[in-house]
Amino acid sequence: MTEVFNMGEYSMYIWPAWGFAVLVLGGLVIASVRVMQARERELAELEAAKPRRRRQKNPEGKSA
Amino acid sequence: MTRKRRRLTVVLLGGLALATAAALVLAAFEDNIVFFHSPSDIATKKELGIDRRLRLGGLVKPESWKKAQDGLTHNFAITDLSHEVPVVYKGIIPDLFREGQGVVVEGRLQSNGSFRADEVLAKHDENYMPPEVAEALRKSGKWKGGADQ
Amino acid sequence: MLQKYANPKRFLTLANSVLPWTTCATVILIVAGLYFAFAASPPDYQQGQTVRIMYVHVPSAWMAMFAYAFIVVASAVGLIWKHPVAHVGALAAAPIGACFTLICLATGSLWGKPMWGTWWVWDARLTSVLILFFLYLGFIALANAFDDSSRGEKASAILALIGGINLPIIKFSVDWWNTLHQPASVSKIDMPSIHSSMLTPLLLMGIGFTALFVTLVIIRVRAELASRRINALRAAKIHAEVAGG
Repeated sequence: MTEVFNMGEYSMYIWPAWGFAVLVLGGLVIASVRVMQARERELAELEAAKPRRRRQKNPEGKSA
Repeated sequence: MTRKRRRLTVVLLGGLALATAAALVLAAFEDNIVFFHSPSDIATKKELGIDRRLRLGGLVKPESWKKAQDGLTHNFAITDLSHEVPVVYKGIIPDLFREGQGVVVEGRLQSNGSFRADEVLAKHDENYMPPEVAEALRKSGKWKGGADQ
Repeated sequence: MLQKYANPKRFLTLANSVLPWTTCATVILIVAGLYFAFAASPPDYQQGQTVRIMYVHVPSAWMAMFAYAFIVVASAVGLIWKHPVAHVGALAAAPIGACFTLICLATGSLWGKPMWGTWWVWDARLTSVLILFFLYLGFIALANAFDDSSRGEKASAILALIGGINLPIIKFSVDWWNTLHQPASVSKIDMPSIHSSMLTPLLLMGIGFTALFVTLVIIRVRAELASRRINALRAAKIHAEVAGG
């Protein structure tokens, strides 16, 4: 296993190259999934709240 | 449908006009887009004189590479197999620099016809293979590729 | 066929049935690709171990161009057939393409330093890829520059189509002009070019990155469709309150 990670004199170019790719793609995946989850949760809440609010004719709306 | 067809025509005609314009511009600036000039260019094109900085590219002529006593000054010739230019360079040479391999040097032509380089870039070819395969191919005579590392 | 998936709901049904498959394919292909890239492939006869940078650099370059081609097609479909999901798809693909382009530039630089002897040169290949990166940034900026999102979609789609001219320039730059960058290895039919032991990790990573691209586009399209629905619901609610109040 150790010889796999020992790239000799070129280690200082090979590992930063792969590290950068992992960082950028990993960040993109995490950001994309998080945004999707947050938006879909918000949408679900909004859709669940919609019929009730209409029935109540909520008072905040009147005061505004 | 007619509106869609019209938008399609506009996009296609626009693309055609753009491609033509781009082709004309690129053809006009061809001399500026090339990254380096060959030894034959140096021999034939008058505008590539001693008055300007330029890049010269080609193969390092086999058995032309000599290191001076100081270990930093290198003398070699760049050839495109029809013309060659002797090069003097003082500095560190990239790892891929080998006789018979592609190289691009940047600097100025001297009045004596040699080229004084202040930068040397190795150019590698598009062949990738394990050392054993390169060796076997060379032995079989099917391929005369560059030197091993 | 095209019109059928103009409906966001129908598109989402299809996309969600594809998503688990592309996610699995991404993981399997990239893990296999990494194994071949680092453990089961030899060093190069000239470049030694640095050839391992190729297995991330070249697939990233493929994806940088593939994502832009995707944006060009989606933008054309959006402009000509007024297909709403097409614009959303183009917008979703842009940050992914920009990331791949950035990886391509960075890994290329880290490969160029030990092999060529320079981090960067202004040759036709490197410069045209840098322009591609700025086209991505311009597309994203323009799409978000208008308050009215349909105007942003239209403006950015037109920019994407104009920038499409850069794709053949990138591809053929190494053949049309002399450059420091070497010509293509994989599309060449001649002898050595690239040995099969090195082609395996390259193709695995390439297909893995394509699967990753599809997965990310679906995720980002879902996010964008949800946020558009949120905005529509909010607008309807405000409208109802104003009318009712």
